[in-house]
Amino acid sequence: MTRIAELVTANSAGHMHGYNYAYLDELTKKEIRRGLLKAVAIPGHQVPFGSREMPIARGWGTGGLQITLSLIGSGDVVKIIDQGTDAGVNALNIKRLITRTTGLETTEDTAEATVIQTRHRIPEERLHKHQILVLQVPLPEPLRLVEPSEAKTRQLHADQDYTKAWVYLYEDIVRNGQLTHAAGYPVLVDERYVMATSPVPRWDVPRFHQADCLFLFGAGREKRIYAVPPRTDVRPLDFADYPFDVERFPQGCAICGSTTTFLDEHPAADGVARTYTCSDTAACEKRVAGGVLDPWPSFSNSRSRE
Amino acid sequence: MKELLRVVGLEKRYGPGCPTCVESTGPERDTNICPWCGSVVALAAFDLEVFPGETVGIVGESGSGKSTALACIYQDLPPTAGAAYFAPFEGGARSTFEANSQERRALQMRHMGMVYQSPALGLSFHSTAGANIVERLLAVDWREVSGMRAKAGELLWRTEVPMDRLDAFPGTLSGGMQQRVQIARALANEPPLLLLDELTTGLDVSVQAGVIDLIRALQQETGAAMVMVSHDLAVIRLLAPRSIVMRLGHVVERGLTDQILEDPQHPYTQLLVSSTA
Amino acid sequence: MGYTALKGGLDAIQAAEQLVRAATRSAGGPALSTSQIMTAFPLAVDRVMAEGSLYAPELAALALRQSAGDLFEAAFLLRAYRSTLSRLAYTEPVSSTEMYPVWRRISPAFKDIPGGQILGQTLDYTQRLLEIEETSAPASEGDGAASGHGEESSGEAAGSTPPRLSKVADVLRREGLLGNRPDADPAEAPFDVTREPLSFPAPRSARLQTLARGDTGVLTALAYAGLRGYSAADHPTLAELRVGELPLRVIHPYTGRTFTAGRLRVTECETLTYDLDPGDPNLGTLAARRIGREEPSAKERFVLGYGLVFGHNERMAISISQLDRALAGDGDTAGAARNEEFVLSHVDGLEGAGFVEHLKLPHYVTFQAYLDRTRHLRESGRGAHAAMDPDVGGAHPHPHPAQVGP
Repeated sequence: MTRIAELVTANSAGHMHGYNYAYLDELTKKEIRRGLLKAVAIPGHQVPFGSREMPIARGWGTGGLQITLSLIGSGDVVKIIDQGTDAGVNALNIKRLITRTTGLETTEDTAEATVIQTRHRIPEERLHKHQILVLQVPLPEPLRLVEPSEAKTRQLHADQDYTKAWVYLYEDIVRNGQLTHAAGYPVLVDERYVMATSPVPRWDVPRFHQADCLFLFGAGREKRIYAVPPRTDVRPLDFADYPFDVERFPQGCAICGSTTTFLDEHPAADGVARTYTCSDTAACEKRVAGGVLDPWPSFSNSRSRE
Repeated sequence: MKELLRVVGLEKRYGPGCPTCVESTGPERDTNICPWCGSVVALAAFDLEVFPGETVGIVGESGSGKSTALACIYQDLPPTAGAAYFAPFEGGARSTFEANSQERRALQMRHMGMVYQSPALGLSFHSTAGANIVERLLAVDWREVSGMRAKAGELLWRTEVPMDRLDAFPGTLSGGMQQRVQIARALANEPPLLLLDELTTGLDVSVQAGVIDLIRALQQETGAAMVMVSHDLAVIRLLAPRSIVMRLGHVVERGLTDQILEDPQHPYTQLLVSSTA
Repeated sequence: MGYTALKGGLDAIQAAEQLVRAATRSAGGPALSTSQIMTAFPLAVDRVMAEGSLYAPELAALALRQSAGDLFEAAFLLRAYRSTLSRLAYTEPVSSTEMYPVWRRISPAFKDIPGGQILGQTLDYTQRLLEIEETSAPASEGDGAASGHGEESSGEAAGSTPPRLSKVADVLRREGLLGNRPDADPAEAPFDVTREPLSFPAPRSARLQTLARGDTGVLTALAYAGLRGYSAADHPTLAELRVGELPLRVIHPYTGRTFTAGRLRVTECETLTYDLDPGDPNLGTLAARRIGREEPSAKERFVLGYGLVFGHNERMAISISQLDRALAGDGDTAGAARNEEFVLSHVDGLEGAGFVEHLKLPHYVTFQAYLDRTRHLRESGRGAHAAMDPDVGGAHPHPHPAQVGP
């Protein structure tokens, strides 16, 4: 009986036997990079791509993973986070796959990383122009809430017809007295495309605006790539009298005491004594160790929209 | 361009079509189905001029093509042939039928208002009355909730819908009120042209009178031009100084409404007038 | 050609059965024992039990072997066998806080929860890399520490009171953040979908039972469609997903006392969403007062979607909890995943597969009728115009379902 292993090209140089460097074949990576270039050229526009089956499940970060694997090479330092922490099981699993197939170095220090793949958070430390943040995206279509058909939403984007999304926000205010859209708050990118923000909490949304780094978004199951290039206008959809706002916390981090970071809530068994700790565990540890953090510009909800 | 709207040679056909479709159909042939290819010629050789601020009536029985003409002008329906020049659209230099989907939407949301015979076509029943009006404001970049609600409230007041129905769903309103919400929606961006399709059909007589008074008032207040489609000569006589009579997809008579009613030329118009009188 | 033969039909179907048996018998060696199947394929056994609606690991293993590994056929065998069993009693309700042992317990809603997250046995974080070098000699790790069949826990038999893990949802409930579902009626006796046909709208107990024996693929597809917008619900959050054992309690027919007859392995999922029903016409007037903040907003509390299935079947439990939530509305709003009749009429694997595969049965009598109509139309030369003029031609290209016999 022929062993399947013999049919697979042996190509092991510091990484897993029987598999390509960074898992995907080079032609696939090129194809994905072409998609990324198009996405960067048209900020906020969803570029369809031939998403491959990956060794992790659909909806668990396959889009982000394909982008990361297409970009990384020797010299890169990779950081993987899930819900803000490097210790999340999904993050560890993705990191394990990347190191197994590339032999690359990984880090937990945001400042050291060249490529950061994330699910649901932007790190608390400000990102710079040599850094790329790859965001995993489950539902790339910001208009999905108001229109289930893909054919129709593509037409709406082409026509820049975002009235339905605006009516949704208007009715939200009429019903609830405030904007209740929680995570993945929709934004207008470069005054052209309405875009879904990953979903990150509202806390992180202002960070997309006029940033120094490159943001890449990958939705593997939905087969879409999109991007926010550095120095791009990214504005949340809101109203002059009902402005976008970020989350609030009743107390600071129980570990480092920070009151300027997004916090995880920990329910207590009695349901009363809740505690909070930093969602970005690496930044929290750095602060405890006496390190200096380079923060993002602080958010204020007075609108400056000329 | 002196006219606000000039429609030339508008034609709408359903079916494969053949070279003899138009000449084989119409009032003289007493059919709008082409005997050679089976196509339905819903509208043929339709011309129309509308000047700023004037109201033009289109009269005819069902199947005469009057609603088809309106739907084509409003960009709901692509015509088979013809052109429409509309002053707000590139000064009338290019036909609105050449508009791309983005331009088409701007025409509908900003420059024209349409009131459909059935409120189910003109309103979203999953949105509140207010949201139906506000949608048109949002489409032209209004971004203040209180301002939009004030404007929507003012439009409801003008169309005599109680203000406390601002956040009601259209399904909970009476037919007459739904029609008024449609009118308020059409007026939202103060378009220079309003298209009204069988506005009073299906309403109680008492409600009809109120809607007719409302349109009269709006003619005075807004200065918007109107094209009004109706099978009811009495309504046209009250509201439209100039009108067109249609039958089986073709225009059979056009002119001043009073003149047409007093001295109808075409046999069909004569029949129409005598049956109403 | 065999299946339409007029004679020898019985010989043909017996020969077909022999072919299946011959093809699945391992070369030379003895057939897999049911205990081998239970050990090697515990998840297949669990899926067959859930979809087969019968908690019987050994019978499920037997069914798997007999059906050549076709999970649907195996569930089919269990369902058919189920019909031969008497309904002796209904179990007493148990609270799932009694679950012990808990093999697995995760709460995506919080980073840490009272009692802790228990990752347990899961394929979630395995990398789906074919272990190519091991094709000829599979690794025998013999780990099997977790919830394999054949080592059911002693549970309460041990005598000591097992520890209880509180529910994550209770934390929110105590804070008043969890609302009652509009369709909850604790006083109502549960419906039995195996004894009574469904009518619509169905009570929630009927809905949960129907979903709990639904086809995994269908449930997943419908829950997925809901998440992608074919349902009005917002993105839900799982409060908790658990795999563990629950006691099976019945009242003794003679003594009248409750006793534990055994333990069941189950998967339970609780989903948090908002109770939103945009189709509610009363919302209009409510919304008018809303700006003055007099009426509570629908987003001031969450509601639970619930799913419970036999065995270790996370995909099913999660999907059921999504659908339970989606079906709570009036069903008039957008999306097939919110339409109770659509969902509940199509989730059953046996019904769906049975009817789809019935197309393999001979249909030459009904087809002859179609042929006759089509030929007749062509010969009369009016077929070309029939589509254009509704008055011409009586035949419809697609017959009404009622005209088509099974």
